[in-house]
Amino acid sequence: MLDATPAPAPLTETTVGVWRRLLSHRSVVVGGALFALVLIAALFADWLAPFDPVDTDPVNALLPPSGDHWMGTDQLGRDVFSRVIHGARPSLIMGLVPMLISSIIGTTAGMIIGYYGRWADLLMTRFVDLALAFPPILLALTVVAVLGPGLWSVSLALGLSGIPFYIRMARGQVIQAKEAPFVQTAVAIGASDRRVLFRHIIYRVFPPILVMMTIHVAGAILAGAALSFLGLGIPPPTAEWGTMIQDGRQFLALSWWTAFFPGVALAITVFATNLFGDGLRDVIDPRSKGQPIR
Amino acid sequence: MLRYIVGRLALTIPVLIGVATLIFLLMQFIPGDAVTAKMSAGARFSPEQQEVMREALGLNRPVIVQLGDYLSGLVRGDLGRSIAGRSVIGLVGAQIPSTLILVAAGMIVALVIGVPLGVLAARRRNTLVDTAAMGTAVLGLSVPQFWLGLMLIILFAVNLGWFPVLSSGGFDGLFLPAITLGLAEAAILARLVRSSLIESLEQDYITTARAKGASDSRVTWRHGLRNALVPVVTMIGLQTGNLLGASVVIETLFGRQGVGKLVVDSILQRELAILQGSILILASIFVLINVIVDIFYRVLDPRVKLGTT
Repeated sequence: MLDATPAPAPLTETTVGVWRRLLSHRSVVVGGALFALVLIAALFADWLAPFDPVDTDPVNALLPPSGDHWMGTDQLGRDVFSRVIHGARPSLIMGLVPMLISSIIGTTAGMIIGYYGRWADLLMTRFVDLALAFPPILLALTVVAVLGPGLWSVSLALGLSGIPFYIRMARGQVIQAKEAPFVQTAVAIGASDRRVLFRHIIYRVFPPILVMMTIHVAGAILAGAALSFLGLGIPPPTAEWGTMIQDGRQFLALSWWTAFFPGVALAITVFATNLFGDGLRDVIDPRSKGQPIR
Repeated sequence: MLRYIVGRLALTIPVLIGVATLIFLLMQFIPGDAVTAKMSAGARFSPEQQEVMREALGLNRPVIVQLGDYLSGLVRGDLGRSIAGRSVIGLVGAQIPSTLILVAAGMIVALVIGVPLGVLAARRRNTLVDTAAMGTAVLGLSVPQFWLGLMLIILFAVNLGWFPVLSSGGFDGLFLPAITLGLAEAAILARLVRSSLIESLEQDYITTARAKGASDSRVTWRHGLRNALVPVVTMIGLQTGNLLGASVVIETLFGRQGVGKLVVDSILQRELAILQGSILILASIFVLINVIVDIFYRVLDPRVKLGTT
């Protein structure tokens, strides 16, 4: 299979330079700003939402968007705008938690097997190849079938199914970095393995992993919403974008707004993350400019 | 070449055995078994009866024995039986063509939209056209497929009435699902074609072609794109995985028959044998398509060494 490991960025630049380039990169700024908005919605949903997201009001069911209900109401009379704002929470959790699970476990495992090599490397590489033989969402679906629906089981499922990608990336980077002069020097002056790995090599491993993490957040948010849409993710009545789109699907001919707005929110969030990751890649690894992001 | 193909196919056997084993082991963690599934479907059994049934189904044996049994069944083309006692290979097999047609149609949509968009962006690189094309591509990657599909249904099926709301077998039933499935992949392809073509247009043979008086479009399409396609072909193999995975969502959304819908239905109905079988089939299709891509890759680029995977 394709081993798409981009070469690491040369570490000639100061941290200040990277920051300056980040802040002057259009994609990073626009993506970051949009993402910050979603984050604010998630953190302050209780204050920002005009209505309670799960409070039903059957008399006012399926009202079109108006001054009172900016995005209309759903089949139970709940305010769609309030639910869209509250929906940022589970979406961000389903994006960030899997990213943390896979990046921490995958990167550590990948670095260790890449550094020590031998049988552990051989064994793990086979296992990673195997896991990558599954279309990613299928692996997550299977794990959800094992754990049952719910926010944390979906997060865990998406987190576990992302691990092989990080292992492959980190392993590739370490194998390249092992031969680099700065690592050889560290070994020569007697640095311990742990020090070499986590004080020296990690600077080579981290930039591409960072880009991967951003893109992973976008993918996990989409996958989590898709699982909820399939009825395997977050059960109602929790305000979650995928579930809301599924609910709205039944009333499509009557009321487009119940499914429309959660989808827009989802698209904006994922777009922001993708844009940010894209810019981050341009800055961190200029040679891969315009390469596909997944 | 034949040796390469045979060798490449032989290499998939351990992968497929590994895939089957992994799925089997994952299934062991799912709470409940065939007997409890029958009971939740309404059947009443006394604890003694349950024990007898587990004994008869071999569910009391050690996991490793059951795994061996499962794998030897696979070799004979036996994927087990559903709760109602129907053969899983028959159930899943009947759905394979529908899913393959959908995935192929989605890939065609991706190619038809993605390649020209990428070429356009590369030829007008760093202009407004390029920015717009690549912006559209990132947007295409970010729009959730199940939502896009719903919006297409509202627009084209409910309001305009051009296509059926639910996807039946026919061609007009395939149109909206294929578009929905293909757009995100078109975005990925457009970005890849752009960067790959830009790189290839900087090569010496392009300068040579230009010097010989070839027209701009001939240089782009015949000389540039042809060489830019090698990474694209590899990507298509990987994208098939995305498409197969997404078929789970698209088939459910459009009410279309297929292996993907079977996966979701079997999870909801706790049909573990069907779930196991359909995931195995999807993963196997993915593995086999990557073999085909590898072979095709070698045809496109004869420099690829013999025996590399």
